[in-house]
Amino acid sequence: MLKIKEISKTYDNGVKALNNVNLDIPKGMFGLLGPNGAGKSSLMRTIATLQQADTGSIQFDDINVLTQPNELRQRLGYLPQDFGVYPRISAYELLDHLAILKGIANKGERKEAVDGLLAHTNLFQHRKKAVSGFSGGMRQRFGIAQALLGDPDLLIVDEPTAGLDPEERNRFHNLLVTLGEEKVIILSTHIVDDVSELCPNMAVLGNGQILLQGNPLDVTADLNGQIWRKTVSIEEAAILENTLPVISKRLFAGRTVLHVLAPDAPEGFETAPATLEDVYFSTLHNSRSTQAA
Amino acid sequence: MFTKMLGFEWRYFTRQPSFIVTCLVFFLLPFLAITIEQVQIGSGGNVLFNSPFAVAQIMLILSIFSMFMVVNFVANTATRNQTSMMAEIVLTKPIKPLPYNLGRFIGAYLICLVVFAMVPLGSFIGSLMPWVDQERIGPNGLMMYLTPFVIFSASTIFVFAALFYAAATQFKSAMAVYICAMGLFILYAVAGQVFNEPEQRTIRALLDPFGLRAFGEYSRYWTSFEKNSLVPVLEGMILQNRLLWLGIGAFILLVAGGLFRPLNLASYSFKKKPKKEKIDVIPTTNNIAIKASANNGVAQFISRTKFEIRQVFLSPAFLILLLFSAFQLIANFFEINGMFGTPNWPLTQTLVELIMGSFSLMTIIIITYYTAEVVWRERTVGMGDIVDSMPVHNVTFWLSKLLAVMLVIVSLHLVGMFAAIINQLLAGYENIELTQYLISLLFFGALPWCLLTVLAFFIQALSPNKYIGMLIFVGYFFVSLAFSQIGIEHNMFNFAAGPMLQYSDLNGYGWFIQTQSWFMLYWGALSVVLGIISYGMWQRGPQTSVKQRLRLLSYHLGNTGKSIAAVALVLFLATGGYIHYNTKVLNQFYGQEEVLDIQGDYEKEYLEFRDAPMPTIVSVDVAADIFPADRRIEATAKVQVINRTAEPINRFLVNMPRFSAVTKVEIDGGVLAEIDKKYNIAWFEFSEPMLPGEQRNGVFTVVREHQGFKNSGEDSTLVQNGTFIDNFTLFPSFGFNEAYQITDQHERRKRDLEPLQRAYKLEDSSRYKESFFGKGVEFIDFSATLSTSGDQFAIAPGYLQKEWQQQGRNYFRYEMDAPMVNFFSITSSKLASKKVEHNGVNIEVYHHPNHHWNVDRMIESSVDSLDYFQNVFGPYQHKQLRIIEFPGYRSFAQSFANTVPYSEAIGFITDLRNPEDIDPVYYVTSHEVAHQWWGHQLNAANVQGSAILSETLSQYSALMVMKKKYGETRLRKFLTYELDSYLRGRSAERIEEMPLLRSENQQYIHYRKGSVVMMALVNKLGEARLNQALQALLNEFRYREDLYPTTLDLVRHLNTVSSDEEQAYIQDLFEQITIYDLRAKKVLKEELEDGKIKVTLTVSAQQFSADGKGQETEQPFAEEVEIVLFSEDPNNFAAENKVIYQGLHAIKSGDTVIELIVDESPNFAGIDPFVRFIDRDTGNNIIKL
Repeated sequence: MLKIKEISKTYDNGVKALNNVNLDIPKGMFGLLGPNGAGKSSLMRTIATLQQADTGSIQFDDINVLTQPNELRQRLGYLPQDFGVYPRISAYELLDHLAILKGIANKGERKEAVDGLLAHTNLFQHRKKAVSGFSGGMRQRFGIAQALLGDPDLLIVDEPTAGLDPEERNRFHNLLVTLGEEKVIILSTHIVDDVSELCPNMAVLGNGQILLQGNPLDVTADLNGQIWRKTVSIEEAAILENTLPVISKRLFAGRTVLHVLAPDAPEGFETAPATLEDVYFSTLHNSRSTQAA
Repeated sequence: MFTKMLGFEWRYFTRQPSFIVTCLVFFLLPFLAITIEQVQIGSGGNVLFNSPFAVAQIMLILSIFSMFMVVNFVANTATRNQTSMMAEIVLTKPIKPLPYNLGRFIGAYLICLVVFAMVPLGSFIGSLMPWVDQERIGPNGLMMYLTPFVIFSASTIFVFAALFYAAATQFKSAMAVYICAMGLFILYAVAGQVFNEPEQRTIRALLDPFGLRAFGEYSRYWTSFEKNSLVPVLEGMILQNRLLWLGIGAFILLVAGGLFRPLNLASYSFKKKPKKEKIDVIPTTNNIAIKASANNGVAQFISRTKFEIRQVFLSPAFLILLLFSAFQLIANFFEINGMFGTPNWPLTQTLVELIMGSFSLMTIIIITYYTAEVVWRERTVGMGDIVDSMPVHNVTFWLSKLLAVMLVIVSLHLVGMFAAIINQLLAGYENIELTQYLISLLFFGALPWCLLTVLAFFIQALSPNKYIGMLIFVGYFFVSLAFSQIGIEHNMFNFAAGPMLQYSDLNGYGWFIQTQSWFMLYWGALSVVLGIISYGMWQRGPQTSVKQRLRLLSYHLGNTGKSIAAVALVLFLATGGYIHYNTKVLNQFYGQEEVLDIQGDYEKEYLEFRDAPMPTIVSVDVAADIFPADRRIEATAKVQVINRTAEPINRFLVNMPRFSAVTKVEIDGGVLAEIDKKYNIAWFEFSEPMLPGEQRNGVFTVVREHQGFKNSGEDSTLVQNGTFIDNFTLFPSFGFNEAYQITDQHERRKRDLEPLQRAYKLEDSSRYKESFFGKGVEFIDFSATLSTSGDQFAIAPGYLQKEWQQQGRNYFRYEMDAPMVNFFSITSSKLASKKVEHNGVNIEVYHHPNHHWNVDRMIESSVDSLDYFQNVFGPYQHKQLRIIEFPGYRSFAQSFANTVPYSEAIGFITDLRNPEDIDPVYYVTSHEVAHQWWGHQLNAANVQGSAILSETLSQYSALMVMKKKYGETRLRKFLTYELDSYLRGRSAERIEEMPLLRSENQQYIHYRKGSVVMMALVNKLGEARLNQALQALLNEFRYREDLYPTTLDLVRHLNTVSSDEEQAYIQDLFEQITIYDLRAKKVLKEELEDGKIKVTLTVSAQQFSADGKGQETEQPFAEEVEIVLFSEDPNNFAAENKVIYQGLHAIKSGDTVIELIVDESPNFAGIDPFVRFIDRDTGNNIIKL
């Protein structure tokens, strides 16, 4: 459905945000993982017609995204990473206005859709309040509602669950899943669980480049038997980090849990089942070590 | 803590773009004011560009603007913790309130000072620029920059900073502070309007937070010498004003500034919550997968436009703006000032002008601010990414936003209109001309602003951010103001400009609808092109460079956009061509510089013929056919000319009239040579020289008409209703045209011309044979046959002999029965009239039917004047006196033989209902009637002081008539105005002030000083003796053509009736420039045992003699001065005032104590209350007991 070919983008200040990105995204949910500053938002904005690439092309269905932005916008739903809202305007009015902009001209249809989306994002009871007075989570839900207006074929959501409480996050995930497999949904996030829970396809972006692409199950399976785990003190961790390929360390009950990627078990390490998180961290780890080398 | 906070403020602001931008603005404004000749503040004439006065004036005027800079910085400081959401972080730190707050306040104050220090810096650097005329730059001194900065700027900015800091602390919102600033400004404006009487100047000066009016009073009568040399000193009015405002500032800061208040979070009070609503079913089952339809531009556009309008109109800023504009306007309504402080009726045309004038700066702010706000709204609030990715065409965004801003402009004008109409109704003026309001305010006012908005949108669409866009737009606007300076004067090159509307009730819109339509079509077409590019290049997404947007330009325009742009471009070029053809091919167009160059060349080439002999016209018979609707006159004048010189005339220069397709000059025995197109002049060459004393016949033929339209300088003499043209304008005239010489000394110097001799020397007796109308203008025999359209009547001087109709046209035959100067008018109009007969003289007033208020007053004045003048000067030479209103394109009244054209802008529209006001209608009418004697019976020689004989004597005559009607006490107010006008006039003198005897056509001398001097003289000599002298002068010179009188003759006749001591006094009045300063300093009143009242009055006196540049030296004073005791305030014009004591007292330089014993208890005492001395400050002559 969505073919991204050799997209590169360098900002005026010299930052190379995207470096020859190639992606082929089929229908269904697609997870885009990457650390802060990896270029996720740049890529999202480029697909969402808000930014021009220096080189490359993006094709959605039969639309050339870079030269036919208006055509794409007809079929696009976009939730930016962060956004503000107009002052002094209620949730219902604002969503209604955006629905008109989106092209839902029929009044009855528009009311149906706006009410429904407000209900689905659990904002219906707040619909007469000014969006500018919403809390962070409520505002994020409003953002989700507007992205879903007009039943877009291409839905781009940039860190949608940031700031949502677990309940709302689940509600959103369920909503995304029910939206069906007929559209392309790109979910950009740095939360690995979001991807592993939702996406049949994913890619990891680091330093403006695609570091990994595939099915989460497949890429996780690839690592099976190569992940080793040890719980150590903070001082020990510091020593081990220098000698072993530690891909992640996290605290658990005050002690450090190290994950190491290695063909064989290092001394004192136990085997651990590979998770998507391990895949993500190992990919970043590899990328860093190649860069360092 | 204190210094740390101060340092933090400093570092914070110096890194803000707003700091750099405001610094730049405050540097550039004074820099431009100094370096561009046309935008001088406080200088001009002999006052140097960088004179201490100009420098102080620049600082004071810019301090009004500084208010908004101070608001910005101080409100930012005071509310920064809240707005940047740092409050919770900052306030949890262990901070002592006083040093923290004080540090922040003083830091912000210092920043403001630094920004404002750019003003003296910009002035100083401007004065060093090499392209500035070095003759007009004086020496620079540190003190002339530092003193006003310290006295005025530093304190003014402190006052603002204190007020705004307190406001920001109290209300915790920047908007509230802006409201405060606006309020302060409104107060300032309103105070200026309310206290506008001369005696209220002190209170007005004190109430001014900027110190501008205090300095204005302080330097009110400064002559150019003083302006170039004096630096303001902290004393008197300035000191009081500064102390008052510093006190107010400090008090408010201490009480409301919250300096000592412990730091804590502002408690937000939420607005009332919306009512809890019972929700039965949450519609989770709704179909949320409704597809968008593809083509819905109209619905989007409507919704978007409604939305934008709502956003703009519901914002608090808009309401403040409307209120502010309305207030500003209403402040102007308080008194629509006419002459001598008497208001005019609130005519629609006047109010329209007022609205457009007072809104122009406001509109520029609106366009700049709202365009930036609206174009960048989505980005600013953070909705940019969401809205930009919507399937909405660029044109929808562009057009909806444009409409919202345009609607702001239109509604502002409509608010102005409603305020104006309410004002008219309140003032008892019932002729509400709604159509005129709408056409003037929308088509001439709002439309060009709307087009300018398109330009602002264009700039913002291409700008990388809103501040740069605002800067470019404001920059463009200010540069466009100076376009004429750099030679771009044609409206075709000044975006959205067209010829300036001048409305006349008589002539309506005249030619302005046509010009405005063409220019608006021209600029409208360009605006369409700019608009199409604007939306084609509309920015979608957070950062898309212009280059990248250019790639998609064609895609966004589509075929429709491209074809509309192409059509608009063609239209633009076509209308441009048409305007060019009309304004530069059919009509001539010269820039100011070009005109000056031509004038300079003319003088260089032809000055040598100034005294060349030429014939004099002695008889004129005019036949003029006026076609008002076509704006055409076909006129012939049969003339008789005579050679009055002692030599034969071989050839002479003829000045051709303008706008004349046909001009023929035929005189027996000669022909007109080829016309020199550059100067529009030609030689008339005699094949048979005209011998001395020889008389010949001739005919002038002229067709004056108009083709197409002009960029500026339309012919206002020939109009559809209210044609008023004089013979010098309509017909060819003879000889070197002195009026065509450049008068400005600096422009002359630039063109290597000698300084202009404004008048011939008084002693130059060779000029005694020339009248002041010019060489060769004498008394003539006059008759005229006029015809005009069937709905109009035509008037020329003379007695109406016959009136008939022929082919639907009206014909009039006038013949003059008495000698008349060769200076006549032809008028044609459709007007109402009122006629009365008084002692054999028909008095007729022709006026616009709506301007009926003062017709009776004019007749009354004419009657009183005729009676008085006939009684004391001699008979009136005509049987009629006609006053004819003409359109207000020109605002004067002018006396021709038995005919007085009188502009609609003066007199006819004066509101005389308030008896406290001076009656300028009565005065002007009487003055013009007096010219029938002074000017028409008595001509004057063409030397210095000629206008004294016509104007000063007419002033005197009118004042005597006024005194009879209104009494001496009331005349005082008039004379106070006259004295003030004189003192201000001399302070604005561009070349050199002359004594009365040698006045060189200087209005402030021959009108204003003349009034005061003549009233002093009549007081000294008495009415009878003075009139006797004037009558003798008139008898000696009435209708004489062989020798014209001069001021020397006037003085000679005055001396005849005067004693030696009086002659010395007359000499002083006429030959010196003497300025006095008389003051009533102290007064005590005690009741004596016999019930009488003893008044002890201390007065002081000083006398100065001044040279022509205004340098004064003190002289000993020893004069008899009038001391008067009043029952009521003599400034209260309406009160029944009783003079309790009036007597002359010998006063010497310094203080004099006078003791008076009177029967009745007075309330006011005055020295010279009736203004017999040229007193530099009449405000301190009256003292309350």
